[in-house]
Amino acid sequence: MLVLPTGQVLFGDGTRQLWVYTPDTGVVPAARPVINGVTYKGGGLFTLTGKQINGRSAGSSYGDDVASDENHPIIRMVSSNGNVYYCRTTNWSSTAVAGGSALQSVDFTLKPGMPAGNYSLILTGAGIPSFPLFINITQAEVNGQ
Amino acid sequence: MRFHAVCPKAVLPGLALLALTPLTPLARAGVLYTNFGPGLSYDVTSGNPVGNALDGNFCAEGSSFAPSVTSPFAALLVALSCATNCPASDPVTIGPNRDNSDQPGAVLESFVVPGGTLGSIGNNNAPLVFNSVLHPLRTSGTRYWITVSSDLNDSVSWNLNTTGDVSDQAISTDGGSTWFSPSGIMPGAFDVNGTVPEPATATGVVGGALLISLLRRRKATSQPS
Repeated sequence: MLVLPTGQVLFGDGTRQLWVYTPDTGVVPAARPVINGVTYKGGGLFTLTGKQINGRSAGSSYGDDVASDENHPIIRMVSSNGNVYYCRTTNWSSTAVAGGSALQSVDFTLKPGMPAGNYSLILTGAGIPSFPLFINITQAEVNGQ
Repeated sequence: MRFHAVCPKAVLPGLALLALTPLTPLARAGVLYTNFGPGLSYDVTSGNPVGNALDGNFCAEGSSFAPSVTSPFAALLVALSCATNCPASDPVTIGPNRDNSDQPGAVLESFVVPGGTLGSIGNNNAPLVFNSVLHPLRTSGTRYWITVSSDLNDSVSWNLNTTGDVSDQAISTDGGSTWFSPSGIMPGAFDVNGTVPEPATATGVVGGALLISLLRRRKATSQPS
């Protein structure tokens, strides 16, 4: 069982059959990660600061057989035409979940091949998405300059 | 020479009235609240979404402030830009609102700008300026809100402030019908101007008040006991 960045749950029972469960209720606003800002540090590296960016739990586990820890932020960007790009995150300031009001940070790089442009950036912590942030990605940032 | 010797009673009320009459210029604009940086700077590259947030949410945004002085509202500056799609025909609505239990409440005045007039995010667009017509009074220490909303055809960015302002921010995911506040999100950049009396006007007002006070005192002392 794995909590997906979309908030859905991917479930398998050991066979080749997989199920995707989609919640039918919205996200509790107070449970959302909060993005406070994104800065470009050069060399293709961005730093995002925010709160409870690792979500409210470690995600999922299945008895003593499987532990699918997801106590780290997942960052995706959505373009105006609906293309979704997942970024690689590093240098997590903390892997603690339910961080409350403590300020946390994470570095990320753009997905290779991602075009410059304007995006909606969403951070997901254990399946709970943040409110989005509009961000402009320049060609120089794509080129890692 | 005593004052009343050269100012007969019939003249004094007129002088007091003249002193109370605002002089030209009546007043000057004063900043009641701002989270712009030096030179009206703000975060050019990122902002809170208004309208279609591209993730399925229909966003409206609100930022709170409390003026430090009581003054009629004169003008509003807001750092808005177009994120992806801003049709000319679709209006973006900006409004100062009353507070309603730490959420945006009743609209005090409403401004509209066509989405197509907004510059693209990533550029150092000049803040939009909206001059008040109604001049609602801003009371010192009272919380107010600046809200920005649009429709789903627009993807507008309310660019973030860079001064570290962390005043309560409200976000709506249904276009402004319901709000979540405080969201913890960084407020967008804005500036609220009021009408602050000029020093000459203030001096006139104080002088007039003193004259009226003097007249009342003279009247009281001249009445037979």
